[in-house]
Order: sequence, then structure tokens, then C-alpha cells
Amino acid sequence: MHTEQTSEKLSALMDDALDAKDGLSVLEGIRSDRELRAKFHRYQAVRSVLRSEAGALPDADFSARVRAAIDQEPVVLSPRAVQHQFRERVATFALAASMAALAVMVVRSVNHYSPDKASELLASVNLSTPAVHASMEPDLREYLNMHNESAYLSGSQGLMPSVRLVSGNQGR
Amino acid sequence: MGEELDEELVRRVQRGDKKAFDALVIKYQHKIAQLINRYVKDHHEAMDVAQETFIKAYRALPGFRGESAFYTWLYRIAINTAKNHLSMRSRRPSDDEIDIEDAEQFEGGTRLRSYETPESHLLTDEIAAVIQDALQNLPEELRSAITLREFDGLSYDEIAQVMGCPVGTVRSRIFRAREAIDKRLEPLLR
Repeated sequence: MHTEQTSEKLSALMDDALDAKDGLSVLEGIRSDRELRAKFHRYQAVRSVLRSEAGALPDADFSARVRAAIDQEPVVLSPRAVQHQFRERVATFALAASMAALAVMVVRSVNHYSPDKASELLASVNLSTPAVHASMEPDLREYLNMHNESAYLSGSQGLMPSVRLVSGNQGR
Repeated sequence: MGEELDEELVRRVQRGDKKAFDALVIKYQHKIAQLINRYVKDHHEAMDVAQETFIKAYRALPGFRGESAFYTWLYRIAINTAKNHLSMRSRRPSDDEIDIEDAEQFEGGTRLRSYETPESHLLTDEIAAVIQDALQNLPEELRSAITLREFDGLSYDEIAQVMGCPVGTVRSRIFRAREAIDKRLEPLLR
């Protein structure tokens, strides 16, 4: 059952005065609602008479007959759509392959992990930053301090530990 | 606006959506039937040619690149299919041929042609008489709006300028005119 608003849109559709969204909705209504389809047919009959057009109108089953014939046809895709589908498949495959590789790496690293080894490794690392700091040339130390302050002000605080470590190592 | 809708439907068909092609058939079946009727006088043959036109269009649609409007492209297929049909039957097309370049502008016609049987001929005349009578009995503002649209082929914007009212009012008046005529027509076309 269609509303008056749908009928008004149907009228506008006949005059090419509907946007794509409403047009799609009305055309779907004509497809699925027998009453709306009959009204569309009558509106077309009125147009034909008022325009004194020659010939007879297609009957209400015309589109159904075309649909039945089209259903026998293979689905057609434009070369662009085929290309698009191919790209999508390749992208999906690449993503799946990456995920699989990542999973293998994670599983391997988990299998090799040992809490004792990790403790030994941590103990062997010399974390005495002040010692490194003390061995630097005064000019370099001053430069790094100024750099730290300006970087902090510009909002790059999260990068500072890395910068300090790299600079310190380079200075040694 | 109509072209925007056609472009969307064509894109959907090209992605494999058969329902979208069904929508294009619904939208253009009357226009194509009227066009083919100018070449093929027999109603049943004309409907067969119209059906063949849409099937050919479906097969060719993957190669449609939108360089012309969809209807212009469909119009060419219809003309060629009708001519091929006549050529196969060794008939000559009627004198009132239309140039392909006029596809978008063409709206005119001659006279409402009789159907195949006396009963349907009677029905056609009766329908025409009822529609003309309903038109004459419309309120002036509705009659002017539908007349400017159907007889003169003006767009909603142009009608709004002629009638000195908003486009929304034009749309509403044309709809109300169609509804008033439809109420008279419905008992005959059930």
C-alpha cells in the first residue's frame, strides 16, 4: 500500500524531477507494489493521450517478461567492475597473508621466551645514564639540554628518551 | 536529476545487480515502446522489438562508458533494433523517422493509434475521451500546470517562472492534476 507522498514522487519521477535516492526508492516501489505499478501505468496512459502519442503502451507485465529473459542471461560486469573485484581479492589475500605471517612470528617468539633469560638480559644492560651523561663533552651536553627543552615545548615529549639515548651513544 | 538516477542504476548493473536493470526497464519501457511504435506498426511486434532492445542493452551495458546520456544510448539501440526488424521483414520504416540527435528533445507524436482488436480500439477511444474530459474539468491552476508540462514540455523550473510560483507548488499541482485524472481513469484500466 503506497502513500500520497509516494504517488507525488511517482509523478515527479515521470518528469525526471527526483534525486537518485528518491528515484531508487520509487522504482523499487513500482517493482514490488502492484497498485503503485498500476498507477504508474495509468499515469503513462494519461501522458500518451495528452501528448497525442502514436501507438499502444506496454502492458503491466512487460517489465516482468524482460526480467524473465534477463534472468536467463549471465550476470554482466563492466571491465572496470571486474578489475575492481580483482583488486579487492588481491588486497584481501595480501592482508590474510600478512596476518598469517604475523601470527607465526608471535607464536615463535612466545615459544622462545623464558623468564630467566629475560632477567639475565636485563641485568647485563648498563642503565647508568648519569655515567654516560658525565662522559659527554660540555658543549654536547648543553646542546642536548637545549634540544630537550625546545622539543618538550613543541610537544614532542614522547620521542625524547630515544633522542637522548641515540645522541648519548653517538657522543661516546 | 534524472541523469543522476540513471548513472547510479547503470553503475549498479555494471556491478552485477540485475534488479537495477529492472528499474531501468520500468523507467523507460513506455518511452521506448512509443518510439518503436513509430517504426513497427503492429503492437505485438513492437512489444517484441522493445523487449529485444532491452535485452541487447543489458548485454551491451558493460561497455557503456557514460559518454552520452543513458537514454540517448538506449534510444540508438531501439532505433537500430527496429530498423533491423523491418529489414528482416523487408519492410520500409514509416516516413516520420526521427534523427538520433533529436533523441533528448523528441516528445511529439501524431495521433493515438488504434489497437489490434475492435474491443481495444473502443477502449482506447474511451480512455482518450475520459482523459480529455477530466482535463477540461480541472481547476485552472492545475490544468495550466499539467498543460505546460505535457503539451509544451516545460520543466518544473520553467513552469514556476511562467506561473509565478515556487517549484514545489508546480510539482504539487502537476501531481494533483494527474491524481484527479487518474481517479476518472482507474475504473477503466483496472
